[in-house]
Amino acid sequence: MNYRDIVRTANANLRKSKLRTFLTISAVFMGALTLMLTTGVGAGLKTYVDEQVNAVGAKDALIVTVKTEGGGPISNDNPKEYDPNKKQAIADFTRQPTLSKADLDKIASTQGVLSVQPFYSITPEYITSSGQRKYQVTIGQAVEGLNQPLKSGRLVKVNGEKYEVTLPPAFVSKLGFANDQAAVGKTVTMGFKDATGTIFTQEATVVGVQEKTLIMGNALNVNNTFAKAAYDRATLGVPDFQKDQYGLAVAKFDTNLSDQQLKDLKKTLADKGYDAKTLDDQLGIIRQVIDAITTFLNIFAVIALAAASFGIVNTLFMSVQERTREIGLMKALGMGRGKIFMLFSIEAVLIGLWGAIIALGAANILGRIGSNIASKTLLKDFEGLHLFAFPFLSMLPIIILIMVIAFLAATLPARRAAKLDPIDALRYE
Amino acid sequence: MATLIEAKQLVKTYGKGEGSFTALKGLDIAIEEGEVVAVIGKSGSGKSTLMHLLALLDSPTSGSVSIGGINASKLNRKKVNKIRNDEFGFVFQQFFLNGDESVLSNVVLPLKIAGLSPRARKKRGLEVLRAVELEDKAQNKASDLSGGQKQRVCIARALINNPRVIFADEPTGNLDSVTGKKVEDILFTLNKEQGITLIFVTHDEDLAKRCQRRIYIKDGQIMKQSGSSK
Ligand SMILES: Nc1ncnc2c1ncn2[C@@H]1O[C@H](COP(=O)(O)OP(=O)(O)O)[C@@H](O)[C@H]1O
Ligand SMILES: [Mg+2]
Repeated sequence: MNYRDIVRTANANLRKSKLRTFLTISAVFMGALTLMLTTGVGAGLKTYVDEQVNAVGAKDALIVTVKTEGGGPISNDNPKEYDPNKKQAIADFTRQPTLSKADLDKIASTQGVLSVQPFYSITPEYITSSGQRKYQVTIGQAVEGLNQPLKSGRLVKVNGEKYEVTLPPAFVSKLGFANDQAAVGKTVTMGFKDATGTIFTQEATVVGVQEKTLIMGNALNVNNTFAKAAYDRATLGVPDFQKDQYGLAVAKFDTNLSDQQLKDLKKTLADKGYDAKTLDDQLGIIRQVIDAITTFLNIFAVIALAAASFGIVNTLFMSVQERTREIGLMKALGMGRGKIFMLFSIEAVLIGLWGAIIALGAANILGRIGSNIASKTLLKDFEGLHLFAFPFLSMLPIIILIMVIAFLAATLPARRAAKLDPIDALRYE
Repeated sequence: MATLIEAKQLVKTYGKGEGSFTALKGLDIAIEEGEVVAVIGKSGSGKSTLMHLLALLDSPTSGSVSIGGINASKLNRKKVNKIRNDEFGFVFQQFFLNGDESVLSNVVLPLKIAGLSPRARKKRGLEVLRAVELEDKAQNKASDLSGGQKQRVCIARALINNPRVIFADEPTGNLDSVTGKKVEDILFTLNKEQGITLIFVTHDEDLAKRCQRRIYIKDGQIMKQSGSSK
């Protein structure tokens, strides 16, 4: 028998006992659907994270903080000797050791680093615009090359002459602007406390309105010029050694660096006492969490599939039993063991294939509905997030896996069929 | 005439030890090409066992079966399958038809196993159905036919590979005498016109009388032979 006839015959056999085939395919379908949905959630979340990373850009930026010696207040490390050149851990969860001007120079002089820009720790008391109320606000500082997706306007000029900001969407109407376009070009005022506790204000021009994203969240972005001016005023009169304290700095590196060179650069910085991470590194943690959850869910899906494979075994044993005479006749007429084995295993593989294909269709529909519901309720703060994604390339291995499981389930019954003695089968009445 | 099938000192024992049963107790048989032979005996005498051994459906406990001078025990399973598929035709007392399928697809099963294309199968299938006068039933479901028609379908199936020999185990056992006669006629015509060797297994004396040679067996042994292979 040639392969096409084997597949056709197997398919015809499936159609002969429709109810049984339907039930077996349903069991496979359930397992496959579970596996596809759990994988789909993982893929959906990861796609979202990737998109966010790509949207942000700044592939050439390292976020540098101080690497602390000792382990902080709850460390059980052995006591270490005092070293005036090393930063000390601070026994306070909320505070981190800071970078000084000397640190910035050290980072800047590291080979591979092109420039260093500190983040000024400025905390505005409020933001307002003429005739409006005052609102609390968190600010982020723009970095060259960091791409904040915008709804209108443009990004701030990081080191431009003017004080510039981009607004998170929620602030547009609060600050009395009719819409995103209307906000662009307007002036906003922010209040800060100086060293004596007196509030001073500093104005900035709105140059754009941001899109809400995972990474930037709801922070307002100011340019470096603005941040530096506010910082200088806020720290007026403070001794230099206290003034020059930065929580973190952004180091630009040469984009031509290979992965290995980048790794070496991070290592060099680590040896100097700094912790350097790309944005991708920071999101790597999120990816790991997603992977862990997906794997955990997949275990349940595989259990469902294992249960379905017992269904396949059962179905095929029944099929072999019912078709004893037919198998016997085919063997008497010269059909080899291998082909008989194939006939039954292909029957199982077809059950797997159909279950998987129908599950893929159902997963797409359910995923779409689920994504829609989720983005309207639970996850409505995450613009652009599709909870489920079913890229064909990650679904194909699942389909193949299910077919392999079905094939393995078929081996026992198919072997029984292959070894059937034609004489016994022909005498069987 | 050349010897087609030769069996020497055939012994077949079913089972082992206490419960074992020796169905054939050392038979010698030679069947010439183009012969019509009847193996006659009571139920349980070992006729079917003998036929299964001669048709290479089973292997003897001791003794040998040679096909065209080649000892079958020297052939591997694949070769044996090929001989059965290429050179043998089978007609059983039970029809072993797939009732859900069409008459045509039942008839072409040996060619499907041989790996022929659907077109070639259909062409040859209609040819053999014409030979048994069932061409018009080709597309009917096999289960819709009468007993006699079913057995003619079986003959068509046995014929489809142009076999050198047809083994017929009680081919008329399930048919009334008139229908049975008609089925026998078809088989005898095949022998006359195409020279196909016929081996009948039967307990029907009337059928046996129409054969050139009769081998009577009892309790797994040859009682007597009559007629000759000319
Ligand atoms: N698989 C088997 N196991 C045990 N005994 C068997 C088996 N097949 C046949 N026999 C016995 O062998 C004897 C001959 O059987 P068989 O060749 O079918 O006889 P016949 O065809 O002449 O009626 C019978 O007694 C039968 O019970
Ligand atoms: Mg019998």
